Amino acid sequence: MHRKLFKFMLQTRFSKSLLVSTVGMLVIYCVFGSLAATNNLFDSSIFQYYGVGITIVMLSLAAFGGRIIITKADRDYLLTLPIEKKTLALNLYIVQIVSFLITNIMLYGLVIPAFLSAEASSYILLPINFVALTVLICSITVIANVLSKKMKIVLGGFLILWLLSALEGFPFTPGAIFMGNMLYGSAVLIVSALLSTVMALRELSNVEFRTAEKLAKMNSLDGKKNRTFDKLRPFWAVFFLNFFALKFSGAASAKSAKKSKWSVKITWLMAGSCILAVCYGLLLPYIGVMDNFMGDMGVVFLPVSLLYIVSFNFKRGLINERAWLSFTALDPRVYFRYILAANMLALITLFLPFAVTNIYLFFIGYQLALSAIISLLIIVPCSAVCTLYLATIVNPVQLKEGIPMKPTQTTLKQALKQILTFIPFFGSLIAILISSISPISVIITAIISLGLILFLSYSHYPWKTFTDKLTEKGFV
Amino acid sequence: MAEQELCDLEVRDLSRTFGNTYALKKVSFKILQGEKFALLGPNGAGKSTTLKLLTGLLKPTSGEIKIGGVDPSTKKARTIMGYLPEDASPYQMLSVRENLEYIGALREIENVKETTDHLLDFFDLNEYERSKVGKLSRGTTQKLALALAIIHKPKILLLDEPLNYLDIPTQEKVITRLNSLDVTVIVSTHIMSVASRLTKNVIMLARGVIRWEGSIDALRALGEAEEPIESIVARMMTSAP
Repeated sequence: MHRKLFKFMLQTRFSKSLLVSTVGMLVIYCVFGSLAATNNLFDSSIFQYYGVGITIVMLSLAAFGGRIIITKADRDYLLTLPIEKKTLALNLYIVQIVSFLITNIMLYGLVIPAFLSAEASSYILLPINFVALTVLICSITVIANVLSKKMKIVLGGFLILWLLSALEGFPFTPGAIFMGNMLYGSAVLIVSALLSTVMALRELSNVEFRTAEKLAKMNSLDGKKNRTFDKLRPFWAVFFLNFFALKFSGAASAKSAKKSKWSVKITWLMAGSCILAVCYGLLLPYIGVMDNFMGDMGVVFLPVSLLYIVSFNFKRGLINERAWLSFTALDPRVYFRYILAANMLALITLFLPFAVTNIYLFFIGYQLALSAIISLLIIVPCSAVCTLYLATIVNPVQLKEGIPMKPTQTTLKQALKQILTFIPFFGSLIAILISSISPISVIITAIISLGLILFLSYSHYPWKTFTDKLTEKGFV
Repeated sequence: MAEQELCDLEVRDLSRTFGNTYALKKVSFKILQGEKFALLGPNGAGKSTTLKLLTGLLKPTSGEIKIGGVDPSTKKARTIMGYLPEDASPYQMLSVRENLEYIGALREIENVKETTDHLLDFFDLNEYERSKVGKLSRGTTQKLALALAIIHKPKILLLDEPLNYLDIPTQEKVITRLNSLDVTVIVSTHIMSVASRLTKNVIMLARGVIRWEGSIDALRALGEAEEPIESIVARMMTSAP
């Protein structure tokens, strides 16, 4: 452990305002969690499933794509310092744990009510489990780094099954801490964290450093076939690019830099959407027979969950856009209008199978399905497009070299601006939830949403300083 | 009227501030059809800002810009202008050919496919045709960016450090190609040799104001016998306004 080196790494990765806001979030989560737990405010089963699910995602990502990530500046300067590789690796490993701690506070904060009960022991075990889980995830990234592809798949598969077993009541798994088996779950988690840390420390001298840029480059594969834009009018070129290949901006962390350039063909998404819609249409009546309330909630839950997914996806704005090419070729207002239209139509197309399922559900007696159709086809796409617009205006970020700015480096002001981009999400969420009580509210929200989209697309006012603002912020 | 048609680019009392800082202060110049100018200046002189203002990507705080007699934000101005920013980054998720065809379609050029084929040939980009931009080297990306800037055969070319990252043979090829074009060119650079290879005239900027304007020959004549031109430029840039 090299004190100065460690301090330098912390300072170059985390801003003070971020650490302050993280602690603030943690306090809010804990107060909310303890209030919810002691007063039985929520049915904790939602949080339990969320906890297991998110742990599966984190551990499998660590197993399949784990490595110690360094920045380009680290590669150019830090790695050239006369410091032993093992010392460097140890410091980077500890810094990565801090990074995971911040991410995990944001991800797991919501499940605090599931952790806590009226018993004092749960309050003591909460921080211990939290740290143990973070250390386990981080250690798996180091251990997986030296494994072959096949072994990574075996490790990832094992971890997924092990965590899933918690849902069946198996107590000897880290997932058990979310499912009520706090004692056994904690014991298994702490032992796993300790064992994995020992193994990770042994592997540190063999660890491979990779920059996020390199990961992004590795992921940037050559296409088998070029898409052609020959003989297409500008609208169809924009439509073709943005409709048939829905871009997934992904999270803005170095670890997920690869994801930031994902674009998935709509045909694949449509196939998935159809399969899911059929499963949904078959499962929901089955659940409804067992529990009427859960059946109704299922109808509301579908647009809410899709709203959640698309809002997160669209909140990165025009991350891949190139102003020097598109805005000098077309009027920026017209170009952006085309993009909004293409994205909105892509979402409506994707949600169409779910809307058809909801028509079927309406005819078999689910009254709320009618509101869900309006939510799916109007409110959710409009909300996503509003999020895209707001994110572009409020906090434009451009992906230039394969990695956007890491969230750990954002200032408090930037973080607050990002929160603003959630306004359409929360507005739509409230409207969808209220629709289960008052169906008329969903119609009013749909009309307002459509009006807003038309205003954004055709009004000159929002676009007056749009290009100027983007360019001033370095968007070229 | 005839004079206006001949004048491709006119800038009058152009100022641009960022917060309280002046990036450009009351800059005026006129460039006639077919003239080739270099915007020369040290880092932070306002060269890139000038180009962004000329393309319409930035709005002036005050002053006026006319491109072919019209405002830079008009369709006519966009049609006749080609722009290459510094460290240009084309669409990362598209391949080299897709980038060219996409911008060709947005610019409504005829024969997008043939034009793309020609540019791929000219810039030796054929082998990267299907490569995503994210995978290219900086030099190859710069070649693609140059191709994108001229895909619509613009009458006015605004180039910000066009030879950055290019190897020497490609630099020579690009210089020959740009010099053979019968277009108005403004090249922003802080390298004198780039300016003298691509242009005949210089607008020297420092701290947002024009320090000197004239031909490269006249600039050379300002120095003492056998004084390198770089030394003359350095002296003029650092001297008090």
